[in-house]
Amino acid sequence: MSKILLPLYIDEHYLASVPANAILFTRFKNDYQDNCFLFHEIQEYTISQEESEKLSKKYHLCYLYDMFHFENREFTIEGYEEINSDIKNIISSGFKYILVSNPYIIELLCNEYSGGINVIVSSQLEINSSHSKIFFDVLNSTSNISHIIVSQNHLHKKEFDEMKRTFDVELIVELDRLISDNQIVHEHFYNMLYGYYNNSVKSNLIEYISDNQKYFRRQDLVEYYDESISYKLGELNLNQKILQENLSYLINGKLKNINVIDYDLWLGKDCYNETFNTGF
Amino acid sequence: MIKFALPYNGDIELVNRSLLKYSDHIESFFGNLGIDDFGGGRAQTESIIKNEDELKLIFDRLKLADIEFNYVINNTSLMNEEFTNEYLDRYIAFVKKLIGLGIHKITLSNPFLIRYTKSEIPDLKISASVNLKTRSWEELEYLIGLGIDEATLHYDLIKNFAELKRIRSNTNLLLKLIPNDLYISNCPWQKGHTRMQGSHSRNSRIKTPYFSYYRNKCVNIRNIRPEEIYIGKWISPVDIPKYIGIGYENFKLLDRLATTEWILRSIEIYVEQKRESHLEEILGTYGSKSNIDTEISNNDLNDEIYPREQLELIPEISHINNKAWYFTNHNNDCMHCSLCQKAADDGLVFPESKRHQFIQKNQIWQSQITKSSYIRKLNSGRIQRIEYK
Repeated sequence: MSKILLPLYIDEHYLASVPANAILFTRFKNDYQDNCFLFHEIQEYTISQEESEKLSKKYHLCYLYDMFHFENREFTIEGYEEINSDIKNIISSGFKYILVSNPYIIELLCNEYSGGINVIVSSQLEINSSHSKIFFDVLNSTSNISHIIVSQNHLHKKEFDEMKRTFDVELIVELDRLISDNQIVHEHFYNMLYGYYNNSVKSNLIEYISDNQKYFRRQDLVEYYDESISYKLGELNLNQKILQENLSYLINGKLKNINVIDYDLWLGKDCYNETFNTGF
Repeated sequence: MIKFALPYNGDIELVNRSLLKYSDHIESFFGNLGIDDFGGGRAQTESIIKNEDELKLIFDRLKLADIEFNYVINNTSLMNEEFTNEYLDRYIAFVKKLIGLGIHKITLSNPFLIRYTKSEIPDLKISASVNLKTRSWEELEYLIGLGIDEATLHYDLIKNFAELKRIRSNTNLLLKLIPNDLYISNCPWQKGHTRMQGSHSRNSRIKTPYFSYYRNKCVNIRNIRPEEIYIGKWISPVDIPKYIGIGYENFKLLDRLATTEWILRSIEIYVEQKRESHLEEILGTYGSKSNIDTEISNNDLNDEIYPREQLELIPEISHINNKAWYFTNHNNDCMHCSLCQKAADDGLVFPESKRHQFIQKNQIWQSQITKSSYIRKLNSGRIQRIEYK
C-alpha cells in the first residue's frame, strides 16, 4: 500500500484526521544538522524525545536528517560519533523512518542499522532517472531502504514510468514543491536551503525565488491518485491550513489543485496564488 | 584545429615542454594554488603552487606565449558563506590580488558569485565550471545572462549531438568539452564527489580527512556493470573530428593531479587522433596501465586507507565505432541499453573471474568504512591522493 509523507503537527484534530497510511515527519531541535538553514527555520516546529516516544506508539514517525553536505565533517571522529549518536537517539525515540540524502550516511544506515530503522532517500540525492539505480546497486545491502523521493528536475512522465519499472523500492513524489529543469537554478535554490544558517541567507533566498520564477514549474509526474506511488506533502513550517487543503485534494484525486508551498514558506502567505495567477 | 585548456600540475616543466611542442594547440592553462580560502575541484593535501612568486613566474612565462592562465575557484559547496559580507570582501580582495599577478580569467561554479564578480570586476573574464552541469542551451543562456564569457559544458552532453548542435547554432561563445574523464552517465555521485573535493581544497577551521570514497563508487560500479564504460561520457581520440565538425574544437584536458609525462602523452594522443586501444591509460578515473594480468595482492585490506591495487581492476579499453551514439537519438538514460552492452562485449578486456574477485574485495572494504575503527584510522593516517602517472 502506498504511503503519504506528511509533516507532524501536534494538534489533536490534525492527528485524528491523518490517513492510516501516513508517515509523519518531524525532528528534534538539536542534532548534528541543526545549523542547516532549513532546519534552523523550522526549529520552533520540532518535538522533544518524550513527545516522539509517546506519539510513535500510535503513528509512524520519520526523522528529517537530509542535509546533504557537511564539508566532510561526517568523516571526522567527532562528526562520525555525533551522527551515530543521533541515529541511536532517533531509533530509541520510536522513529520507524529516517529521511537522509548524504551518501555516506545512507551507506552507514544500510551497513550498521539495517534492522533498526527504515531509510527514506531524500530528493536531495537527486535520483531522477532509471540509470540512478546504480547508486544502490553498488551498496552492500539496501534491505532497509524503504522509499526513494524522486528529484523532479529534468524528470517527466516518460522517464518516471521507466523509473517505476526499474526500481524495486517504492518511489515517492513530492506534489507541492517548486521544480526547475534549469539545473543551475535548481541546485542553487537547494544549496541555499541546505547550507548553513546565517543572517543574510533568507533575504537572498527570497530574492532568488522572485528573480527566477520563470524557471520554476509544478510537478507533472502524477495526474491522479495512484496506489502504486507514495506521496509527500508539506514542510514542518507550513501553514497547517494549506497542508490540510492539499491533503484533501490528494485524497479526493484532485491533484491539479494542489498548491505549491514554497512561495508560502519563503515569500509569505497567499503569495502562491498571486504568483501562479500571474507568473505561470 | 584542436585546442586545449591544459591542467597545471605544479610543474613549470609542463608549461615549458608543452609550449615547445604544442603551442599552436594551447588555448590556456587552468589550476589554482592547491589550497586557498575558497576551494576548487580537486582535493589537495598540500599546495600545488607554493607561493605567489611561483604563480607570477608561470603567468609571466605564459604571457610571453600569449596564453592565459585560468584560476579555478569551482567549489560547489560554499554552504551559504558566500552571502556574508566578510566572505565577499575576502573573495574580492583575493581575486584582485590574482589580477595584480596577471590573471585575466577565473572559473566559477556558483551563480551568485558569477553575477557578483561580473558586477564588481567587469573586465575579468569568467569561465563557467563543468560543475554547474550545463546540459542545455537554456542553461547556458541563463549563465550568459549572469555574465559568463566562456563555459565548460557538462559531460552528459558529450553523446547528445542534437543538443550540442543546438547550442552551437545559438552562440559563438568559447565552449569546452572534457574528453578524457570516464564520467558515469547522469552520475548519482557527482554532487557528493565535487562537494567533498571542494571542501577539502579550501582552508577551513575544522580539519577533515579525505579518502577516495566517491572515486571507489565510480570504479566499483564498472566492476559490477562493465557497460558503464561505454554508457559513460568520454571522447575517444579518433572521434575528436566529429566534434570539430559540429563546431567544438576546444577541449579541457584532465588532470591537475597527473604527472607531466602523463599530461604530455594525453596531449599527443588527442592531437594525433589515431589511438584506438589501451584508452584506459589516458582516461580518468583509471589513468594508468591495465592490471588485468597482475596477480591480485592478498594483503590485509586494513593495511591502507584506500588499498587501490585491491579495489580497482583496470580493464583494457578500446575504441568502438558506434554511430548510434553520435548520429541517432540514442537514449541518454541508458539503464537497459543493449547497444552499450554490446560495445562492452566488443571493446573491453575485463576478465569475469577477476571482476568478481574485485567485487568481493570491494564488498569487504565497504563493510569496513562505516565502522568507527576505520574512521579512527582515517583520521590518524596519511592521506594519499591518487595521481595519474
